[in-house]
Amino acid sequence: MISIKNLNFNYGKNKVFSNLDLNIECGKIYGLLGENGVGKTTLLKLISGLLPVKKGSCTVCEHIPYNREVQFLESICYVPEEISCPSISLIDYGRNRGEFYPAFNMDEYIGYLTQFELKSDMNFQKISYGQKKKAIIAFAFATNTKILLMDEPSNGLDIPSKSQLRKIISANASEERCIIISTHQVRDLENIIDPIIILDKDAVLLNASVEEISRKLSFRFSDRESADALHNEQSIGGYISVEENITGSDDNVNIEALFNATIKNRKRIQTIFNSK
Amino acid sequence: MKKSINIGRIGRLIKKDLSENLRKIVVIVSTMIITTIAVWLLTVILKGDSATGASERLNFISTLTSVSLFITPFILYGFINHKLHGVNYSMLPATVLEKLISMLIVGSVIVPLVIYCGAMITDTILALVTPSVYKGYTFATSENIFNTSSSFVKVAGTFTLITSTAIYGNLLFRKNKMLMTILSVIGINMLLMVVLIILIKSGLDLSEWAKNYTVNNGGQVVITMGKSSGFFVDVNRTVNIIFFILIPSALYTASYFRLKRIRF
Repeated sequence: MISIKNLNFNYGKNKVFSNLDLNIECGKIYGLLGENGVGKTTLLKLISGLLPVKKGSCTVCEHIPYNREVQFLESICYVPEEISCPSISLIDYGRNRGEFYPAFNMDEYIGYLTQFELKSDMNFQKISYGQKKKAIIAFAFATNTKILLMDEPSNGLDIPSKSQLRKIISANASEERCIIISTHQVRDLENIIDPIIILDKDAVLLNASVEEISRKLSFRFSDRESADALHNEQSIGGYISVEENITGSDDNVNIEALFNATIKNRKRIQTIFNSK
Repeated sequence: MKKSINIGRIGRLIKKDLSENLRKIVVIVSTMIITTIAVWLLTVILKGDSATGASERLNFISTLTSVSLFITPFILYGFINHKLHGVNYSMLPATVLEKLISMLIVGSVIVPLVIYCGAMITDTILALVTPSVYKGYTFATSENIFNTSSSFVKVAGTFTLITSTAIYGNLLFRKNKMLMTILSVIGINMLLMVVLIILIKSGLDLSEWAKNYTVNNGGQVVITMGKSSGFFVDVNRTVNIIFFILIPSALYTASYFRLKRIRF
């Protein structure tokens, strides 16, 4: 569905990607993680055609994103971290913009708005940042596009809304749809995102399903740090130790600990995941 | 062949742009109509009983329309290349050509036309109410752009030049768009004048061309073609072609590619 090969990108002298390779398939909810400035938003912008590829290739459903052909734009929806809204009611926003998406469903849009406790006659300019974000997310899901890109969707949402967001994301996962979520708030979306992509400067450190991560790494809770662990994460009442799974244990993946373990042990993690 | 124009989508874009910019449009139109009323009020205060003719008022309305033609694209579509606000518009499923056409229809036809008609109606009402101050009706004057085809072409050409400049300036600059566009136009004009001065100083004889221009009793410069022969007979037509057709076409083409290659 999305194929990135030898991708190079830079902002002036600031190199962001060099020879990046990544394949993204449909029917999954990808979690895109990475430290600040590694290029998560840039990657989403390259996929959505908002930025041109400098060298290498990026194809999305056989389209070159930067050409912004109508068929491509009809199949993709991008929810940026910071949003801009016109001065109209939420229902008019859906009416005006939904017409451009062949699979847009107005009833679904109104349904999502209701789930997020938003009234359709509310004016975009007169609601809070979190409410705007919820309305844009509601619209994005109602477009029913094949690809949905979301940059920090849980930022600015209150606790009940985060729960609603999880429900909506889970309900919208389908074999035909690919959802990519870039986030720092991993706990908000834990148990939803699968596979997990950890991006680093110049490389994809990890692109693996939760099942594969669980098979290759163990996440054990103990009252003291483990000397053999790739990473020990302090937690309430003890430590979560991330180790290479040699015993075949089946632990729940702690994404935060995984992320920190990966960042601290770049080469080791790549070796573990590249071995069969 | 990939379809680059879909009339239905253009219609949807126009509907969306009008709906989302309704408040801004109301503000622009109201400002222009209030300006028309303010000028009438000033005329009443300053001129007293001496009436203002319809042609003078028509010139004012034309200027007002020209101003609105210039400012409307900046006000309605100023967000278009903004790193944050432009993303939504860029991601909207429509071709660049459709977006440009809808921008042109809304910003350069619908809004200025509403302003022109609004100002004409306001002027007519004011002329009806105070015939001693506003003599005659602007819609009935011989200079009305819709009355003669030659003046219509001239006005349409000027409007096209203004519109294309505004649309390209709006896409070219990211900050202080209107000011930067005005300064650029002034700069280009100054450059052209310098080139002309250099040409004249280097021996270019404009006396033949000058024969085409006479000053009438009203103080207006009028063109009387056919008095001289050679290259300068066609110079006026050439200038018109350059300014009313070639430059706007180049600006629209540049706007198209600018919109197509916009980065966020």
